[in-house]
Amino acid sequence: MNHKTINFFTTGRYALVDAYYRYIWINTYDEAICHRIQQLFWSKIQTLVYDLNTIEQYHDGLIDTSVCLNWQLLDVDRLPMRIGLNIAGFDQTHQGGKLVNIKPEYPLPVERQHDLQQQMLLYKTIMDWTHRTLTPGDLMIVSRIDQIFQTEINLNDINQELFTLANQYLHNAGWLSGAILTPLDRHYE
Amino acid sequence: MNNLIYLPLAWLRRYDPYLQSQEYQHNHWFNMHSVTLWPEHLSSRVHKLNTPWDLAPSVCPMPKLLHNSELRFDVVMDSITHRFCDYIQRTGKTPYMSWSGGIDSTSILVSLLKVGNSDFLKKLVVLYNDRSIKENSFFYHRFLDGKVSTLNFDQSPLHVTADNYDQIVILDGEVGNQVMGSPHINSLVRQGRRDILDSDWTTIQDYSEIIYGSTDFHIQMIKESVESAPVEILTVFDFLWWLNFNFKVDDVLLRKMLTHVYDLTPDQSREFWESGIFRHYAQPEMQQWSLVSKNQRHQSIEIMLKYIPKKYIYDFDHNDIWYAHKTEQASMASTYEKCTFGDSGIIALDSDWNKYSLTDQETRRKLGRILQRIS
Repeated sequence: MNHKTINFFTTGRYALVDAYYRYIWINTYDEAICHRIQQLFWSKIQTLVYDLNTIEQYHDGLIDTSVCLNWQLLDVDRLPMRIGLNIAGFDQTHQGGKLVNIKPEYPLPVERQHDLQQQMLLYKTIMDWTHRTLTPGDLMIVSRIDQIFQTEINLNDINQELFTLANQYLHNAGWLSGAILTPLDRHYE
Repeated sequence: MNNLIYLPLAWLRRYDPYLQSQEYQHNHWFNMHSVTLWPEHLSSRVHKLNTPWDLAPSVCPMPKLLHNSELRFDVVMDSITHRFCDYIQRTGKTPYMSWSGGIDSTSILVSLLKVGNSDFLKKLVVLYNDRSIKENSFFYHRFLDGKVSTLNFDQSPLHVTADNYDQIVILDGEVGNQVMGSPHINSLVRQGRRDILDSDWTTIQDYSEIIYGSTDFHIQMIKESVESAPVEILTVFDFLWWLNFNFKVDDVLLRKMLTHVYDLTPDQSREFWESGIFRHYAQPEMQQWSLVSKNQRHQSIEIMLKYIPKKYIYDFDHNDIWYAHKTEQASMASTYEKCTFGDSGIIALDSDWNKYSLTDQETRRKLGRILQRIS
């Protein structure tokens, strides 16, 4: 079943850059969420977190969700021989590089590229909402949300799994369920 | 200390830094580790290296090039798995598949899931840890968790002992990288330098452009081996793959073995090596495939690195995101570091599977004499 098309928007100085293809998946002002998405999506894509403010050509508002896939951050001199979360520096925020506005060669069809980008943005939005209501006792639901994003590879399937999860928590954590349903816009189904 | 099959030079040079000194007569062997991912233990599968220590022939002899060798990776992989499953059925041993979540071990796991019958799959145990799940969560949750037996080896390590060494078989993805390509090829592709890979390797003026940190001694040694290669080494792609295929296979086959045979006698160790550990990528058919598919793999770089095994996995799991984006990552070899060569005291293995420990004064003296550090 196809659900409503979700289009999230974000901008900011911290960018998730594809470690291999070098394009920007998302950029946001929230450095912590960038690192969290880097870790959580590692089995789907391998990315590095960059601080765009350290790049000469960058200024606030230059890049946002609607255009970031058309920007590449070239830093070839520092490309690692191997990529791995266990390799020193991979979990750090990187600086410098050169921004170029050239549409790269995507390894996935464009619609799947956007699907994956929207998965990241959906996760970010859910985390924004759940953190407003989260208590220590709710950590289980966060790990279940994480598992959905790690396991499912299509936005529609993620949407449906989240909807099911939110319904399971309606009886004892209605606010939290609402926090999941809000970005899905499915409160009344 | 003759007929050595493993001697970790990288560890020795940390133990005795003088081995790297320009004043030391054999320093060139120890200064080769400036090259990224250079083998800890150095051996050539096609020619005898003129080392001060006595090396045994390769534990993985170079296969003969057959004109009717199979060109399809899936056919080769699945035929090896058929043979392995028959072996398990005949012997009743328990197969333990060490799964990192990476491309090489996932390919093997796909083959086991495709080819293995229900009896085999009931016996199969997949060894994994949290890193494996992080590398391929979709595969773990869709095909492994709750479907086959799994064992988190960080929580319950599998120990090979005198009681179980002849009842189990461990599989892993070692030698996958040597069969497919090389980290130097990956590095050039990532830098957009595919043009270099297509060029004639003999025209290269500065070899450090293609092998970072290489010395004249390196290059001379590689050139000597090329003369004995069973296939023509023409391009830089060929040259870099050959370097990995010829010089690193013994190292990756043996680097974890100490963990496995630490508590075994030499006879038990030999038996475990021969029938307790099974490497798909080191099997003669796969080694032949690597020789005959060289040009096919070179061309497939236009699509992506490791295209052939990734396509094999994609045809099974249909995970387009992993297929498009998965890159080679550091292997799980480091997870075995509790029992590594050197740090465990054991510094060498010979072809009779005798272990040599530096805790033994006589061994230290023998090593000192072999290295000509003492007279």
